[in-house]
Amino acid sequence: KMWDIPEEEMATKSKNMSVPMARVKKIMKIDEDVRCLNIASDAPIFMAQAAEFFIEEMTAMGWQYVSEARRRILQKSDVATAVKKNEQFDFLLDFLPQAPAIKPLSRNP
Amino acid sequence: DPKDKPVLDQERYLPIANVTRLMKGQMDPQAKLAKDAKECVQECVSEFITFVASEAAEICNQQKRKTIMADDLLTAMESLGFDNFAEPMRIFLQKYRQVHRITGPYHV
Repeated sequence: KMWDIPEEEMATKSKNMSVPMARVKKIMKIDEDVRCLNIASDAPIFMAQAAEFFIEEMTAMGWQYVSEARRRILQKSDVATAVKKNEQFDFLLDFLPQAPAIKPLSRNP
Repeated sequence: DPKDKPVLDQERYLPIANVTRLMKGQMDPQAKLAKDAKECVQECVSEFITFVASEAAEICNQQKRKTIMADDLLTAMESLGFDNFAEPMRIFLQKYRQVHRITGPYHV
C-alpha cells in the first residue's frame, strides 16, 4: 500500500519529500485566512505527503482509462474523467472545464 | 509582516518536475505523459492544498487558535470527505510521530 512507509524511511522523511515543503507552505498561504495564522512545523510535512498521495491517486485513476482503452499517452481528458467519476474530486468540478472548448486556467493572469 | 505577503504567481504550483516524477511512478514505464495532463494535475494539487488548508484555518479560527497544525489538516480532510486520503494520512501522522519521538523533531 502506498502509505506503508518503512520506519527507516520515515525517520528522514522530512528531508526526502518528493515535493518541496517550502513550496507547499506557500501554496497553503494562497488562502487569506491561512496567511493570518501561524503554520506549525509538522503541517507542511503532512500536507506535502498528502499532496504526493493526491498526485499518485489522481494519476492512477486517470491511467486506468488509458490502459483500458489500450492507449499509450495519459492526457488531460483522462485526468478530467477521473475527476468526474470520483466523488472526492467533486471540489475540482468548477475548476476543471466541463467541455474541452473552454479555455484552460490561465497561468499568468 | 512576512506572514501577510501575497503568494507570487510562480509560487502557486509545485515544480512540474516533481509532479511529473510522481505521475510517472503510477504509469507503464513505456507510456507517455501529455504536457496538458501534467499541468492539469499540477493545478489540481494546488487547489487541493489550498482547499484543505482553508478548512483547517476555519477550524483554528472557530477554536480561537493561532497556529495550524497537522491535526487540523487531518480534521479538515475528514470533514471535507477525503476518505481515500484521511485514513492513510492518519496512519502517516501516527508513524511519523512514533519515529520522531525517538529521533527528535525536524524543522522546516
